[in-house]
Amino acid sequence: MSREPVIVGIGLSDYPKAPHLDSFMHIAQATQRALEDCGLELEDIDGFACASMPTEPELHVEAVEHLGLSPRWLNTTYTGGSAAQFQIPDAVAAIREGRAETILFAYGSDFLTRHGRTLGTGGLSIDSGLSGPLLYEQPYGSTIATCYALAATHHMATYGTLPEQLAEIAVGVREFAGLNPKAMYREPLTVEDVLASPMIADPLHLLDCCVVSDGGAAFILTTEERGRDLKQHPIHVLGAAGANSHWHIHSMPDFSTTAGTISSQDAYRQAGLQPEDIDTIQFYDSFTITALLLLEDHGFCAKGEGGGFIEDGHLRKGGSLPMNTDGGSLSSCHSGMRGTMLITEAVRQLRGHGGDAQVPDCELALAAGCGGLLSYIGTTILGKDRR
Amino acid sequence: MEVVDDGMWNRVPMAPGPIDRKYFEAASQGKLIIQKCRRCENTQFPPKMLCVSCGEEPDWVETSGEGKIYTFTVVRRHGVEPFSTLVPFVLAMIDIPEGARFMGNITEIDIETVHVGQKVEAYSLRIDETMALPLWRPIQSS
Repeated sequence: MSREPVIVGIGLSDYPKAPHLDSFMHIAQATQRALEDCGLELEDIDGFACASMPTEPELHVEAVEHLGLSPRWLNTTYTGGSAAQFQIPDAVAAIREGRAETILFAYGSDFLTRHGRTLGTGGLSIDSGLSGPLLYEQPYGSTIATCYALAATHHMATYGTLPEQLAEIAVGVREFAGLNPKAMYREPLTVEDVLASPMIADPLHLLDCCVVSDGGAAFILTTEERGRDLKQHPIHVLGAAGANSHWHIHSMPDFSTTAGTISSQDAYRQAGLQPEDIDTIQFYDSFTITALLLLEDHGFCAKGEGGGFIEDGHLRKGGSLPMNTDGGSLSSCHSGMRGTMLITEAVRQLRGHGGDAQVPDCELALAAGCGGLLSYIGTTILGKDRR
Repeated sequence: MEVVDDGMWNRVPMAPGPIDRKYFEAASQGKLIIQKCRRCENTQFPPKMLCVSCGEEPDWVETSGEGKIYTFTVVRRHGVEPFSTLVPFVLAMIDIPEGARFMGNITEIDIETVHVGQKVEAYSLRIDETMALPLWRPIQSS
């Protein structure tokens, strides 16, 4: 009886614009679709993983109630966009140890419908009576976009990375978005288009920044034994780890290096794999610089060489390491926290269900979530087969 | 450092806790201060109850108020007043030789020539009778 952890069901709620759904309905709809995908029933779920955004601080416990669950294993760790990646290591252990049989991961948000598009430029940071660490940022007009811009400037000044190289990330992801009928933006882009889009915070243009959308995702983790007689080919969790270096950008030790250097090494070691073994990457692309730093910190190229690596076309459709095959958050869907969607897309590829965006001979996928301001990096390695 | 009082603080309502308050109070007296551990001599900023290196309670030390731009951005779009009316403005991280890194605005600077490594000095902008916010400007001699 193998208790090795496998992902058996995935589901996405309606996106990118879904004014007919609130956050709970996103979670419920994604859950229904994940259950339908694998053939399990709601009553089979005895473990639950969910994280809440600061905009909906009790979403995780409210979601438990909304779904009518009484989980014997619960993980609500919040690390921003990498929350799922930080929850997976304990979920894997819980499955192996018999603390849970079947764990549902779910996230959803009506972010666009509720808050509009100003997340990145400070639209949520109005505060009456500021205290704590943001005292050292907010009075200076810091926004999410400026935090990532500070990292991008640092990488450019240190390693000679070019705006054209960052733009190429957005162009490649948009090409995949063109293959996803639901993606928010699907028209082909050029590097020139990105560079001609309005500057938000130097050196990041509008098209270096992710979309703001509605959306949700769910996936179901169970034992290899249980997964055998379900509807889909089970996908194995081969490695999962997370690491942090700071929370607020002012405490980032090196603005060109994330804790992905640590989480990736832990995950590779667990899986017994190297970067060159990976067939596709699903990376957090809140901004183009996010994906570039994750690329280097996961060892796909040396520190500082990400710009050239990207320019060579590796991340494109047909390249050696296709990235964000659903159109990512740069072009398809970003409803606050995207960690669950990195997993659902990696599973879709490993099943061979990628359609026009399918990566050929896809057996190993790596998902990397980035939470906070380049702060909490989580790495998950998934495989079509057990190794 | 110079304390500038333009009599129109409108950035963010400030309600710092006891440790943070000391930093902004020092700024209103023309001093840029950071913490230094009395046991292991680790320097740190922002201030905390304990030294993150050894756990001891840190002391405050005054700095020269001069540093270099570690990285920066020119903010072109902002969703909140008054910053939405101040764009474009420079937001930077500044390293000081005493061993601390600050976020701050660089004012009195040409946004087309601002660069990493540029030397800057601190001054402060009055918030109220007891507190001021450190800001930065180029050192003219450089």
